[in-house]
Amino acid sequence: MKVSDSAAKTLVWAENLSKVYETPFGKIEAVKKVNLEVKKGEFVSIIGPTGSGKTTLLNLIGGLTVPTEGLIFIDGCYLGGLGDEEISRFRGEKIGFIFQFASLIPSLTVLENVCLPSFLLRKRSKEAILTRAKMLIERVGLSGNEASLPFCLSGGEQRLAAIARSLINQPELILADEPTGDLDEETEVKVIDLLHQLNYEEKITFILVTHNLKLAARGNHLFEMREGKLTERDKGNL
Amino acid sequence: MNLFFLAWRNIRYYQQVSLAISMGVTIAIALLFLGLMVSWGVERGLETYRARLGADLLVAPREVKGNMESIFLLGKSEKQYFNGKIVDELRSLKGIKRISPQVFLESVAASCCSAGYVFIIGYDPKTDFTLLPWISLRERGKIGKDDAVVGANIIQPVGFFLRFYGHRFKIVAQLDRTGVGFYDNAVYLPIETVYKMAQESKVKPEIYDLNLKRGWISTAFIELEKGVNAQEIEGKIKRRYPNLETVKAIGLVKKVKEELPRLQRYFFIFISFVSVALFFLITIVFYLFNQMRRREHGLLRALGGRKMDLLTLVLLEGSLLILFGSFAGIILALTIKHLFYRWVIFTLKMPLLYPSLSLQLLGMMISTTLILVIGLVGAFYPAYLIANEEPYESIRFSG
Ligand SMILES: Nc1ncnc2c1ncn2[C@@H]1O[C@H](COP(=O)(O)OP(=O)(O)O)[C@@H](O)[C@H]1O
Ligand SMILES: [Mg+2]
Repeated sequence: MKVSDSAAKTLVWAENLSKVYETPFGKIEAVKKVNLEVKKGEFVSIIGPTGSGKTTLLNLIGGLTVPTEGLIFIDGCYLGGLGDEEISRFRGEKIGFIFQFASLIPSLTVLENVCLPSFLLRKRSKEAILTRAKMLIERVGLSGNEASLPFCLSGGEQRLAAIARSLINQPELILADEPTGDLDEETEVKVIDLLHQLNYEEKITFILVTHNLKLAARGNHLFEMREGKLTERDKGNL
Repeated sequence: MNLFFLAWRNIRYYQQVSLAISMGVTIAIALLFLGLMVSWGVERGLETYRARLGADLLVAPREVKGNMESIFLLGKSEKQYFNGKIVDELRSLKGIKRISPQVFLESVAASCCSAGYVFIIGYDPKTDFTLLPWISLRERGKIGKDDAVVGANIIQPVGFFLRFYGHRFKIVAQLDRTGVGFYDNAVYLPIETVYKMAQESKVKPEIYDLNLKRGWISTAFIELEKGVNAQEIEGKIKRRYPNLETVKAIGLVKKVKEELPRLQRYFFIFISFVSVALFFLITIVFYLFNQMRRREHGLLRALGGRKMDLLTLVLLEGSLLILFGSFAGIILALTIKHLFYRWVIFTLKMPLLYPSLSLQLLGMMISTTLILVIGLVGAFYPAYLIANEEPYESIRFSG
């Protein structure tokens, strides 16, 4: 299929995407026939009530779960056609995840956590990885905490470390699932600023799920998820 | 940083779980290794004992008969004497090839010269056939009245001096280890000198009274002519000397021939039991351990880790824990092995001669490998479950 005729290349293309969970209490249609196109370099925000399927959608896009129906292409690559080896490599190389919850590996220091995706990818030299990791830690404002274990950090600091980690492999796409959910307002703005800065300076594409309408409106596009359905909202009439 | 590093970090981070798993392995390894050592040790002890045993029959006072096992296996003295002229009378009995007396003195706790205690025995160098054949000819030739032959547990080497009851003895020979206390802890002194010491002890106030009459003995070793019925000779002796008992020397090691296979069968059942128990223990513990860290594993996958990486990580963690546990287990087993040496001998009523160092190393390797295989097979299934789960499912899970 022809994806787009505009100048920028399509990075994420989801078509007719559905996800049904089978639970002991019946089926849950978490995502219903969602179509989504995100171009390279865009900053897309998704809002919506709890349980509307936002996390599920992000996980589908990141290849962490398989759709019940529909197709996902990332950078022209059909996710459904990848084996474990390829999809792992794909996740490591192209996608950075910032999760809704504390997601650092508890046994590793901040520096090691940030380096981890690079070591799993086994592509760059140790020195290159360490240099970049230190740079990123400084960038998110965690200098001095390199050797700390996650439990020594505050929730906000852990989130910042996770952001640094999502950047280590210079991904094309970052999927951020309520990255500021448990942060105070001041830190929240700082984090979202950082994401926009990265989007602007490094041309990283973002899909951000957030509850904060004001912050959501700062993106190129704003979508709303409701009972598994995704619709684009006009940023003007928020 | 690699998976090995991560495995190591995880082990250290989840200290309690790691400790629990390693300790389970420690106990299992210790049991296995000890079992192997005892099983092999008894086999070796029996072989040595049979080879060492020159005598067919032993003669001893009636009161002592029940304690013969203790005398032989542990080397515990028994101070019941009978008149030694019987030896000369029996020497002429048809069917008896050789006979030689021995007299047991103390078994003294002597830090001076042995790890445990010393069993002082007087023997007759002129007629002896149980002891001297094991000593090289050159040494045998020059045994004098103040020369001692010592068992393997005596610390002082040949050429050194020992002092008993005011007498100084020179060690002229040391016997090889047998696993039988009677031989290993013994200091053999010429019987004539022993009688002289006993006499002196009566007049020298500073010496503890030995209370042994000249010519009296504790036992006589008898070697029969080939083809002679031992039962018949035993009957004759008992009829002639109602106060004496005879004991078949081989019988001192209780039912030697039947016991060993039985012991080994028990050991086999025991190994199987330990293995099965450990298998389930490890499977369950690893399952729980992995459940506890499901989110972590999901995260690793999200960050680019392959199924293979996850499987390798979990199995590496398992191997490391098992290896640590094994190491501790071997140390524990070696400690127990030395501390309970005598206890094992007496409980089993069998000579125990721990296998050579190379066999012990082999035993360590066998038990460690066995447990490593069992452990990894047990750890594989939980690891496989985790590796094949959708990353999102693992991540959603909060321990
Ligand atoms: N793994 C799962 N198994 C069963 N139900 C699930 C699973 N993941 C999500 N759900 C359900 O799907 C719906 C959407 O969940 P989610 O995508 O987490 O929503 P959101 O992120 O918008 O809060 C919810 O009703 C949730 O309970
Ligand atoms: Mg969510």
